[in-house]
Amino acid sequence: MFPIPARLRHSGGAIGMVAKKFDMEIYIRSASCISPQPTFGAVALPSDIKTFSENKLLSIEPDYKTHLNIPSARRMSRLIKMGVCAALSCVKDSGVNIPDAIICGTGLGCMEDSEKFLASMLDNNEQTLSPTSFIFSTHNTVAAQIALLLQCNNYNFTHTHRGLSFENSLMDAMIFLNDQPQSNVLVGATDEISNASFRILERLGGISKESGSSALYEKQTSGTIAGEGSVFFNLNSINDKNNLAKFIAVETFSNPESEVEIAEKIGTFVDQHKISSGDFILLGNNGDVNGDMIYKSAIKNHFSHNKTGMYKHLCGDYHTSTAFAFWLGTMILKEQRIPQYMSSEKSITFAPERVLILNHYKGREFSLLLLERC
Amino acid sequence: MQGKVYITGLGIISAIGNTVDESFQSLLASKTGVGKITILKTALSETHPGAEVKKTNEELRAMSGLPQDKYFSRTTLLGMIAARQAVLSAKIENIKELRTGFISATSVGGMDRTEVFYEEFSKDNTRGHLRDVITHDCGESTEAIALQLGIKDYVDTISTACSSSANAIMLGAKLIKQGKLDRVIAGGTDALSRFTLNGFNSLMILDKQPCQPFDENRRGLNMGEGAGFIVLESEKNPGIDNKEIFGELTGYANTNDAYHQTASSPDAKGAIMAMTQAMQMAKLSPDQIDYINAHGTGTPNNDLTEETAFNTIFGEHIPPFSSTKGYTGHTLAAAGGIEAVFSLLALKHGLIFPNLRYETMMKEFHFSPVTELKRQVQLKNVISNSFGFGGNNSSLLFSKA
Repeated sequence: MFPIPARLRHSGGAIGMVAKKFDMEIYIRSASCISPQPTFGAVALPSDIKTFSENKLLSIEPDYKTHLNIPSARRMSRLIKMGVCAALSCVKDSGVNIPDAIICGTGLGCMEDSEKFLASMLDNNEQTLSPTSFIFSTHNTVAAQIALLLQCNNYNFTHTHRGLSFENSLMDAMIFLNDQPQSNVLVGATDEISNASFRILERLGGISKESGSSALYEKQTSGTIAGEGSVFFNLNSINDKNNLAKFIAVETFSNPESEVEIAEKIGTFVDQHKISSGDFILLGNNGDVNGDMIYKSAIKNHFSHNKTGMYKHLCGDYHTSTAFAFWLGTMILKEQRIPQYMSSEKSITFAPERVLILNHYKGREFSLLLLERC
Repeated sequence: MQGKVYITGLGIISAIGNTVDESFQSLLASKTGVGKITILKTALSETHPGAEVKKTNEELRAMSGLPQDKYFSRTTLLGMIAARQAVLSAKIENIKELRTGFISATSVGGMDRTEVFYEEFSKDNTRGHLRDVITHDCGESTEAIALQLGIKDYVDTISTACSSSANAIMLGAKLIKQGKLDRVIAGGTDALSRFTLNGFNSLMILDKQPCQPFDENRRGLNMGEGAGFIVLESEKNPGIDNKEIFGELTGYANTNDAYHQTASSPDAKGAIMAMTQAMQMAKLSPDQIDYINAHGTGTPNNDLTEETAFNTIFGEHIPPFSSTKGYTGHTLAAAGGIEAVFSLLALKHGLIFPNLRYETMMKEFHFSPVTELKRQVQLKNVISNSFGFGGNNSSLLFSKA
């Protein structure tokens, strides 16, 4: 098996290349999304979207009394409630009571509980502290609570790798399904904005000085808008008429050294998967004048014949925003239409074969996710 | 999934040594790393011992080889030192010649700096040095180490509480077995922080004396810090025949206890499933297990659950077991990596390291851990257990190659 082809050797693409080697196909059986948009409940693209006047896009939270009617909910932070609620709803829709694996991605984990415990520790000079917020502060809390509520003893994993936390979770799911093709995997991502994390982002220059989500891509500022959300999917390899879409591939790379390298990596993926004009490209632009420039040439070179759209004006920019994009892509393929609010064209009529999500997080982590209609 | 995964390199730093050799010597001499906390500034240092790496951040930075002009969390510094050792130990000269991954685990990432930042920030949110908070996220330490080692093919961070680095190792093995990577450096790193120290104290599971795993009168755990990494390689890698092989990873399993956010179940369901599935994967029966490096934290709850699992799986034919937490303290997300190194050293040298400070048998079972160093033991198969908050239970099974 040696020597290894050069393109496999140095790229972050080693894993992404894997997808086409898989014999079985991976289907999205169900999906559930809690986000700053009215996405929860209906398995459909929202007809109307919400615009935000500030740069902090908080989720529209479901009525937990209806959707998460459990005694332990009152001790849960917003993040845990959102994560568990989205996951349980996804499991219910999948028709599978106990998933064979629960895999969760989170960039920052349970910020609110971590901050609460830190504050109490400092206020009380490390004496007589209540353990509740510490108990719920660990990064694996959401995956653990899902397992607890489902009484699921199976594989349970939490990836927390910055802007690739969801992507690495998807890869884990692929590996799991490749190993056990008859199984089904609950995979998702969850992140929250806390007051402190937003303030820190502001101080770090990560938030745009111009307010509002509607004209995100026209802003001439550095920084972006912050977002959050909890999105879960049930993946399996059984072809069924109720499947929502097919998951084809995920590829990632980090810390590219130049725009040329970015364009090359994207080009390799485009060639390998024969991206054509029948495919819709969903871009993770975030309106940061510095950030989006870096793959402008790649977009021009590779997608000039494609219909493109953006999604971060809907969910904000955060470590696992691609989970929201993955949900949008799934719905686009299911409904075979592009909603107007995702396109810069005046009127769009397009029934795509595939959706390619192309994201960058702070110009540092890059990912390509490919979905296909069933 | 097919193909064998060998371990060709080890790296470690903890309270009992800054290198694999120093740690090995401490284990042979039953030398504990538990003592007074002096480097971390905490109100608990007078009342609660810990297992601290007795080096300041400046000293660690000098040892790590990381650039002097950048700012790193202690978690990153510890991880860098252990990961570099693992790479050197595996005699890797050109990291890019094979598809190589780096998978690191951490429970709280750069929390040791974040809590410094919050002291100012919580009073006035325009204050606090930003350099202290940009190292907060778990991926930060992983990326800094991967960058320094020149690894780009796959980089990931796992955070499943105290089972984190066992899971990092497991994921690395899966990637190799499925042919996605040829080699993975996997393990974990965690620095002592006031956050975790106080967290465990708030749960009332910290021992105010040096801990006594598996003892009837155990009182809790001692917090530790450190990092442990191993190099996993495909049997198909060129030149593997000429390398020193520390062992083969023949089995692993990840399960969830699904009982309680922090406590383990009285029937030990998750722990039993993890050990049993790891043995099934390795096609081994319980009587073929020669040693168990237990999770054995010293808390009443963990040790009872673990012995319950031993009882269910092995009954009267329980293999020799010991916890090494009495040496290193509980190093949280690093524990699985550190104890993988210990398990592989045991396997390689035919040794069983004694469980420190054990005196009285637990009343529930007739089991005693190994309390004196055993030499010239025929070890073929060793299980390493890692159990964590959130019911995350993982077992690794290393076999003589």
